[in-house]
Amino acid sequence: MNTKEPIIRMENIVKVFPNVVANDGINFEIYPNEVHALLGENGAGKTTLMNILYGLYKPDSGNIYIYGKKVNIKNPLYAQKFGIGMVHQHFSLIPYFNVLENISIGLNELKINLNLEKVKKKLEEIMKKYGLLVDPEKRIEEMSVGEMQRVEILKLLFRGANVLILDEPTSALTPQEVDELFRSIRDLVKEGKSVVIITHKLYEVFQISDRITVLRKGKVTYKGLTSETTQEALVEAMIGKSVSFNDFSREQIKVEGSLRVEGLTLYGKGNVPIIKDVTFELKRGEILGIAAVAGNGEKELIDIIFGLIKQNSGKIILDGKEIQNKPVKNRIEMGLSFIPAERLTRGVAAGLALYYNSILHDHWSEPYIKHSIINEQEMRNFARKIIKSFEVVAKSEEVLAKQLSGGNLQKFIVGREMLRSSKYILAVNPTSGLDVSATQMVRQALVNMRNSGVGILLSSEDLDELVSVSDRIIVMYKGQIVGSFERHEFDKIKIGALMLGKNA
Amino acid sequence: MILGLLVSSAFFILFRLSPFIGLATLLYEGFGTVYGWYNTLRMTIPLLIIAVGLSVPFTAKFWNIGAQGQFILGEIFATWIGLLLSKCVPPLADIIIAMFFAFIGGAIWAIPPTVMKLYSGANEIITTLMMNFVAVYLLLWLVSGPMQGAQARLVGAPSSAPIPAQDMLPLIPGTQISTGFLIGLALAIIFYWILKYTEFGYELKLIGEGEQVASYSGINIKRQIFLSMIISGGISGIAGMVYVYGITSTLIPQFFSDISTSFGYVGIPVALMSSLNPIGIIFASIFLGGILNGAFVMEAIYSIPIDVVITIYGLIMIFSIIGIMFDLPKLIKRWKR
Repeated sequence: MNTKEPIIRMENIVKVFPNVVANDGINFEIYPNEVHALLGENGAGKTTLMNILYGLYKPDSGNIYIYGKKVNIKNPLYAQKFGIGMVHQHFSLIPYFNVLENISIGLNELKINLNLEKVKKKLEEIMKKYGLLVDPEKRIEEMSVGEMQRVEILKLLFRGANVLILDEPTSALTPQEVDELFRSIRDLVKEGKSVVIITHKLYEVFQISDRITVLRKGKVTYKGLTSETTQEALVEAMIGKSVSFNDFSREQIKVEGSLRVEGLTLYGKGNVPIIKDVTFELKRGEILGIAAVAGNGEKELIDIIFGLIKQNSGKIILDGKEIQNKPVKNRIEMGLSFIPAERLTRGVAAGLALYYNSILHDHWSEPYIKHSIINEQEMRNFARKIIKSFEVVAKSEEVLAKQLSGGNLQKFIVGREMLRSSKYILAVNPTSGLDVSATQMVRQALVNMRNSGVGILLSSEDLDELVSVSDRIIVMYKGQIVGSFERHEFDKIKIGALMLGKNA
Repeated sequence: MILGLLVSSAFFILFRLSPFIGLATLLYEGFGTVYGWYNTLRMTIPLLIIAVGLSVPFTAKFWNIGAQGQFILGEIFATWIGLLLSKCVPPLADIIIAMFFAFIGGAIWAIPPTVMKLYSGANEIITTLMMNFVAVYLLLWLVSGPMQGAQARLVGAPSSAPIPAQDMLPLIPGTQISTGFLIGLALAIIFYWILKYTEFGYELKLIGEGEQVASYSGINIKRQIFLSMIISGGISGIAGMVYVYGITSTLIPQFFSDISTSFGYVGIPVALMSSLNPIGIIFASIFLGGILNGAFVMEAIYSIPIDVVITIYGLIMIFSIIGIMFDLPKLIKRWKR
């Protein structure tokens, strides 16, 4: 099998975004008649790499060869010409149009005359050939997600795609639809196509793929045939082996009080549980890490604790008082702070000056407001303090929040929440988008807060971060707590496996 | 701005009038004479008060298009209570009570659309606008039915009995300007301060920045929006009271085609072109009041049909707003260089 020549070879691809190296010298090959799984955690650079191949991004360096010939894929149209097609996580179909009309959009030969009959004939041939059946007259808005996906794939085949890239194709499908999709993928490969699947679900890789490439933080950490690998090797490649305890000095001080969550449950659309019977306790002077792959209820859990979402059942007990029905303001007054993930829409009022943004959680209390009247000077002082102690790069406190870069904005928000007096801090990805030194500074600050008796609930996509600062880690999968680790038991591979839904 | 002048010049020429003279007259009658100023301010007062009221929910990006209806309800409530009490209480008390009732009337008219928005998500632009239609016909029915004055009934005119002269708002001594202007100025200054320096103003600004950041900041969005609409409706109501007690002295019906009296609509651009700054609203309302007044005088002097005058007025308004909103910042920048 290794003697086969690859159709597409990506060589030494480098792509740098502000603050993050998304692809760091990646080599990637696509072979004929194969399903190639591109595996990795969120932010590992999978989608970026495929977007480069599809012509959506330009690599900063590196080359792409098709059948051994160097090519320059300037935009998706070129990619289509080379027989490359991609189905994005979010479909690009027009809901009010039917299948035929959607497939016709952007077909070059159409010009003005829309000969739908001709399109229909060709489409029916393709459907028969690959066993991908949909009703050509059905409108997209009446379709299930699985059907829409079939339409997307048909669209690519119609344009003569030879290599199909599917970005997280199973994320919105029911198990039956997944089976069906996998059957279609098998048929496609039998008919001579190549398929790339981007995923972070381990079990799917074994079900469908022939070949695997694992990315971690922009680098290839594993490459090989599926038949020659084990789950353990893949988890290790995805999550990293080196358990580097970046040790911060920890002191234990005894402070009374805890934030307890009991039997918290939240239902989403169609009564699907998003959070199911979650119970844990966060003590003051402790960092409790939540490890979860994005979308497993960790975000909603924190929103519920802060009061932004209403739970369906369960209790939240802060220092002995039930707060699950209290408004946000009360919870803030009782000592909660929150570093949110959505920095620009939630963390700050983007169109207002920094000093206005410095008191979001104190805008009713002295010294900033006395008898409902604003003291602008105090607001400015506090903003200056944040800017200075967290090294925010900003001309002055009068700069609008939206004028700061992402990293600086994050530093400002982290600084604001840490410098105000609070008993508990909820933090979601507090170091995302920060450079190495700022990341270190924020982590140090988290540990310092902990040492001074603040309880911190830390949800992070970065397992290294959780392991380096947490006292305890709980793992969430599909809305449930599936594991809990004390600091001395931390094992990234075990935690990683639980995050992916595997029983360790 | 220049485009506006060109287009309106074309209209002047159409009616065999030198465009230069036309425009000069417009501005002269608006701002050139003492008498012109009196009339201008007469137009300014309701515009000013309404626009100040609108600036409050607009700050939270809640679009109250219903000032016209709230204004009418203010007129109705103030006139009703004024006629009822005129002989029982001293004039000053009558004015204060009327103002209070006008506030209540305007606020009541603002409540249904606000509640509909907050509890079922109905678009406030549509619902507040619809409330205007109801108000217009409610007023028409009242002044040609239950509230029609005896005098008016004799000649078959739709209007209420007049507010007795001693109960009217006094003039500023030595001028012919109603003290309603002072009420407007006071409201502008008060709300300038409220929006800039109070917790309430701060929270409205955050709500205007987005629901997410507002709820993250612990703000009770529904309560503050509701409050801002009560204030806005109430102030529009006070504008209605000041209009009746300072200018018309009777309730008269108002129609949509009658832009001249639709202060509730003209107040919207006044508020917006001042970037919701109540101090800026003072100047903007004087400016638009002047053009409105000038347009009326033109009709009298040159016997141009009122429709044409109103068209010209509308054009000038549109283009001057465009001019102010787009050119002025550029001009200031250039000037600073």
